Amino acid sequence: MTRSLLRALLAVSALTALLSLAACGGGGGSGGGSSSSPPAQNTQSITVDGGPANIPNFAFTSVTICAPGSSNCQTIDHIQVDTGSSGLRIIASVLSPGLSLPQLTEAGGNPLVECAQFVYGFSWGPVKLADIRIAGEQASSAPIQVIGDGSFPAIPRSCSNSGPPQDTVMSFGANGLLGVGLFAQDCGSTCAQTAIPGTYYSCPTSTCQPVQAALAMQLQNPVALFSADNNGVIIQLPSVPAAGAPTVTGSMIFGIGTQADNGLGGATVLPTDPNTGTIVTTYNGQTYTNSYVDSGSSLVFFGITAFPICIGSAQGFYCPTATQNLSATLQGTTQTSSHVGFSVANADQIFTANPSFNAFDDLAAPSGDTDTFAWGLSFFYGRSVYTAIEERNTPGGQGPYFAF
Amino acid sequence: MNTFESMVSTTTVDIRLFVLAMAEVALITLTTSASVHASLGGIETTIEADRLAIDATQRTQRTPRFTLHELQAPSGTTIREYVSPAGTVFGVAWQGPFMPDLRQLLGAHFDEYVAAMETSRIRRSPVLVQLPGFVLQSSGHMRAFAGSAYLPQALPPDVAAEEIR
Repeated sequence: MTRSLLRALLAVSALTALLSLAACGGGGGSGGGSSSSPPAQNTQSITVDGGPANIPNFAFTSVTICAPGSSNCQTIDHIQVDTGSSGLRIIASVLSPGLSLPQLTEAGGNPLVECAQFVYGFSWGPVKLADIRIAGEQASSAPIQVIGDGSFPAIPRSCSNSGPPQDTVMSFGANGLLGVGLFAQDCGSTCAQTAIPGTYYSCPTSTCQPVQAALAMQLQNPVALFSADNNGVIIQLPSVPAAGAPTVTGSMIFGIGTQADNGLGGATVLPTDPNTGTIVTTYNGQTYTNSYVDSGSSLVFFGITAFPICIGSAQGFYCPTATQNLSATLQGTTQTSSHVGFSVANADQIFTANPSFNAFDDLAAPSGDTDTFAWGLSFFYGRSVYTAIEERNTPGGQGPYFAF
Repeated sequence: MNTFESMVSTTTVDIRLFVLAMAEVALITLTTSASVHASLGGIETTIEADRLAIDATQRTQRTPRFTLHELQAPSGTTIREYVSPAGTVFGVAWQGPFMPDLRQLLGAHFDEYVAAMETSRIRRSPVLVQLPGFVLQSSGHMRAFAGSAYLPQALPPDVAAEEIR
């Protein structure tokens, strides 16, 4: 009883520390640093190079994680940059044994373990606390997910029943995932109010039960926790030739309109639905209401039978007989819209011509339905794509929005 | 159980009630055992097992071409199950902030879905699995998922696959 009380108190104090940090980080302020200190180095290099599982169009970066408040740190490369989720997730096998990160406990005093649901499968692992350092920015004592950690081997069926496991570097296609999306937390108020199967779990022993997770205990968008440059992120990738490129290097810039290097410029702001993060795409006379811009999705995904499906090495991709030059209109929740051009090449021919290439701006695949139009990494080349965090102020208005 | 026994012993007229109660017990047994079988490809009553598994409310809409059972989970995710006039669940669809229990909804086809994805060079992106006897598509991201699955051979001739949504 005394021990559980102590643990509860510890959890509360950890929570208070997190909340005060979040408050410090500015919930809707200008996001700028204090006037006396020089601006933080806010630019981090990103690379498209296939990564550990040879997946085309995955953008990677390096992240340094430290035991909170210490200089016990580890820099991990090939962390996928994902503007379609929030929070840092690391595959347990790449963590150095010497890096001992404290386990976060839920309000009842038991270890908090998360089931992260992706459209492609689930990732199961404990929530631990770490300082996250990227470029010159830091998110202190942030909850992160350690995927595939051996401490909680029994995965609840309500988690594993959503799809295939994504818990190794090979199945994940990366050493981890850096979610710098539209939302401040991965789940948000729904998980804070109710215990939802398939999200957060309390794991006292081997049997885990769904549990409510207060906002501050959920995985946080690290950018939202930075002391400055905390209202969003810009992904900049150079153009690539029609045949693709073996490797592409670009930038992830933190903050929108907080420093000289991250202004909106002439970008068009498309506010998203505040609950779902979706916008609307109109293509070929059809309206796609489930549309989104997402660096973590590798291609442009739309339609069911827009073009023939590849039958060679590019199984699942579109394979039109000749490259198609197309256009579409993207619109947010305001009247503002943006007209964009994009190409769909024959993926079988593209892969066969240059088997070692990893970066392509002209590959697409079916979404499989008539509502979805997903603008994945193919769309990001040759653009600056802005992702503004919910309720944070920017020169383009409050997030959540996409701009480019 | 005590109430049940006393009810049976009181009057002979209550034999009809007893028969009804036994039928109810049989029905409960049926739905419980049905929870291991999934809805897709199953008979209409398997939907009740899906409803119980996710503690959902249910709304049924009957049309000449199919019957639509809409399950609303407390998490906010909606599941729609389509039943043919022959009584087979030929399609399921989902939409909402969280993924549904696909093993429950797909049954034996769940393993086909998982196996089909292992070989792909596309990850963490919309999924389209097209096998001769089973089609599944799934898209979205955290806070907004949508998808559907159907059995081409069980699709009524006057129903288009795109209607399963």
